[in-house]
Amino acid sequence: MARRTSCLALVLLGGIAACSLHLDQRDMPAQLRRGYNNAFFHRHNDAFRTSAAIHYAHGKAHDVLQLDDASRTRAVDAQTDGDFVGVLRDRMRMEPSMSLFGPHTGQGAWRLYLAIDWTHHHHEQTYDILSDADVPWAKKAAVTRDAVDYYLARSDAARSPAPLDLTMRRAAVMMKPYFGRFRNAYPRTAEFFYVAHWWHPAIYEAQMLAGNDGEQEAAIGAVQGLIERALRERPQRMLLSREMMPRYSRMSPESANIFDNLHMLHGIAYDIMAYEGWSIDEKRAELYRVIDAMSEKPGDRELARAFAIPYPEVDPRRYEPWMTPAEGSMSEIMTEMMKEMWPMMSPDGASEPPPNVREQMKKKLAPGMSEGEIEGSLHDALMKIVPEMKVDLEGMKPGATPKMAAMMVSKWMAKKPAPVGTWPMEGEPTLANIPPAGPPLPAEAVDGGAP
Amino acid sequence: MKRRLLALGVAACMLAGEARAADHDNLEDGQPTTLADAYAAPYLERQVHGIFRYQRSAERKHELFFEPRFELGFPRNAQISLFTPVKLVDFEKVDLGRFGADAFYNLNQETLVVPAFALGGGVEAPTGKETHGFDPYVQVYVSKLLPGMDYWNGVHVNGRWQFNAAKREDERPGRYRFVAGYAFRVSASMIGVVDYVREQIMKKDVTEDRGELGFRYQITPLLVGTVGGGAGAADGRMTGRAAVGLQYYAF
Repeated sequence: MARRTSCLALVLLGGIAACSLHLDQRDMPAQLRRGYNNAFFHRHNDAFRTSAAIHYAHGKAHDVLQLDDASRTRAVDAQTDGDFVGVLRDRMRMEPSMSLFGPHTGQGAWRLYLAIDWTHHHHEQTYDILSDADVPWAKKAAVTRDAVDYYLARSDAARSPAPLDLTMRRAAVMMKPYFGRFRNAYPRTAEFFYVAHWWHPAIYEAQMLAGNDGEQEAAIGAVQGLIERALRERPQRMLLSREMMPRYSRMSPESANIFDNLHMLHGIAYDIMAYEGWSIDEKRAELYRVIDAMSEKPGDRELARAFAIPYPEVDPRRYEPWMTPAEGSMSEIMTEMMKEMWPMMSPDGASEPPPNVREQMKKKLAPGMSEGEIEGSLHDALMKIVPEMKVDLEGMKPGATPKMAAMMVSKWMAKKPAPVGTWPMEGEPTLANIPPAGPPLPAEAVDGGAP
Repeated sequence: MKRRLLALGVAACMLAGEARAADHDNLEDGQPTTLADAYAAPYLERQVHGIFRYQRSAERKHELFFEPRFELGFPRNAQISLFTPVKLVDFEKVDLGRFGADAFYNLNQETLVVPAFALGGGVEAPTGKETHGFDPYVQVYVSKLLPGMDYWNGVHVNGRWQFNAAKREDERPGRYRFVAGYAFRVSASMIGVVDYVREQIMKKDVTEDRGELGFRYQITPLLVGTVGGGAGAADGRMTGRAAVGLQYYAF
């Protein structure tokens, strides 16, 4: 009798657990096996270790933001940045999975780690393709396409190959209560990741400039030599692929967009983890919504080239002044989105956000708190200066998509830029042919074809 | 003999191609201790393992095995393994051990409160000189990281029941193996494992208890090395084992 009761209790407990708890499957696919696997590890081990250190920081930041006492953010920020910079300087021998240094968040929201780890595999794979001299230069684009196909086909947690302009509109996070929390409260850590997101595309572009031969070592060595300067003079924004790696973005716009979408997911996830207003269940609901919104949708690949290139002649071996300000392609996307949203938010139906709204938004897009910046999220700040602003209360809840998302997507589809041209891969490049750095070319000189 | 051992090791290595590992934190039975976790190899991942294992049994026999193993992540969240320990008798003669095949399915990814569970089973075939009968077994795996901290460490429990299909007079009709252990991060490249094993052996009335300690180290992104050992007692006699292995993420 006692045995039967125990069995019944176990079945009941199992049933309750299954009904009341969210359960995921692990669903991790194997990495694509090709002859180029690990070429980056063997050929550019110092850069491989830099990448491993960055991914250590990415994993650990989730748990730091989720577990640490929110009342001591300043101290935690300094300590975390110090830790990450130290590991970056020492490098890290092997690439850790997210869970190894951020296990708590992995238990709370597994699909976040699945999306990140799977895309980090793609990062390594694409570095490998460019590193492997046995992959002829003329075949790099086709081999990268093969890796993109595999990446997109094997997991529904893959990031979209569509430009960030579109996926950010689908995610529609700007009026969420967590938006800007990470940048505001943990500015040094946020800047550390801006350095990381300068470094990743700089390495791709160094490979694109150098070709398969020994110049690749020299070009990557030059980027490695800029890390200390980048840590001293940190970018104040997330640099996009189109800014830092225009040649790679033209060779494989899908892959370039996948990285932008991953790097943006990092930023949104840190905002969510740093926000104290929601439980872990609510955070998971919101994370999974964003992960889904920024994953591939039908027709995304056809849109992959829909972006403009602001600095087509960038030389990643130089750390240019335009790389550091908060204003850039990322803030342009956000500003456009705000303009699209404002007619639905404005109490008087104005078509353009007023100057004080634009000013608060500009401040919220930069790390830390600047003079005159209102505490809290962008939504909190706007409510202070425009108290009658129309609010989508339902859309602000965890897991809910704001009503304005569909409107912003249709507006972008109507005005999206002309497709950027392909990059010629027939002849192997040489560093001797790189023109001196100059001012950005006008858009009409950039779009529509390789130089 | 040295040449033969070397040839076996090289053969295992030759089966492996270029690939990436990065899951040295995925515990495998026998690599290097008995403890396994509830997580399967990634979907369609192919792994080749080569394990050298020394064993001192309750009968005071010293035995050395080389065990090649092939693992496939298939279907999603499941894993299939094929293995056959080769017994290097008296360091001179070679005896094929029991060829085995097993599989398990991971039911769920763990959450902050619910562990990961996996169910599996397998069979050992009578391919060795001193073996008889196909012995099937069922197995359950439970894994749980410790929540509330950014340090990777967790507990794992495995339970197995193996049937003795062609029972002899001095043998059990079936036997169990229970393993409970703890795994912890040493560095980005290394994890440690400590476990306790209670295992009935085929011979009636003999049960072995042992403790084990091991380490899994990522040597390159495509190669994990393992080393471990343990000591215990069975039938009032001391037992011991040591294992060193390699795990490739293959072709």
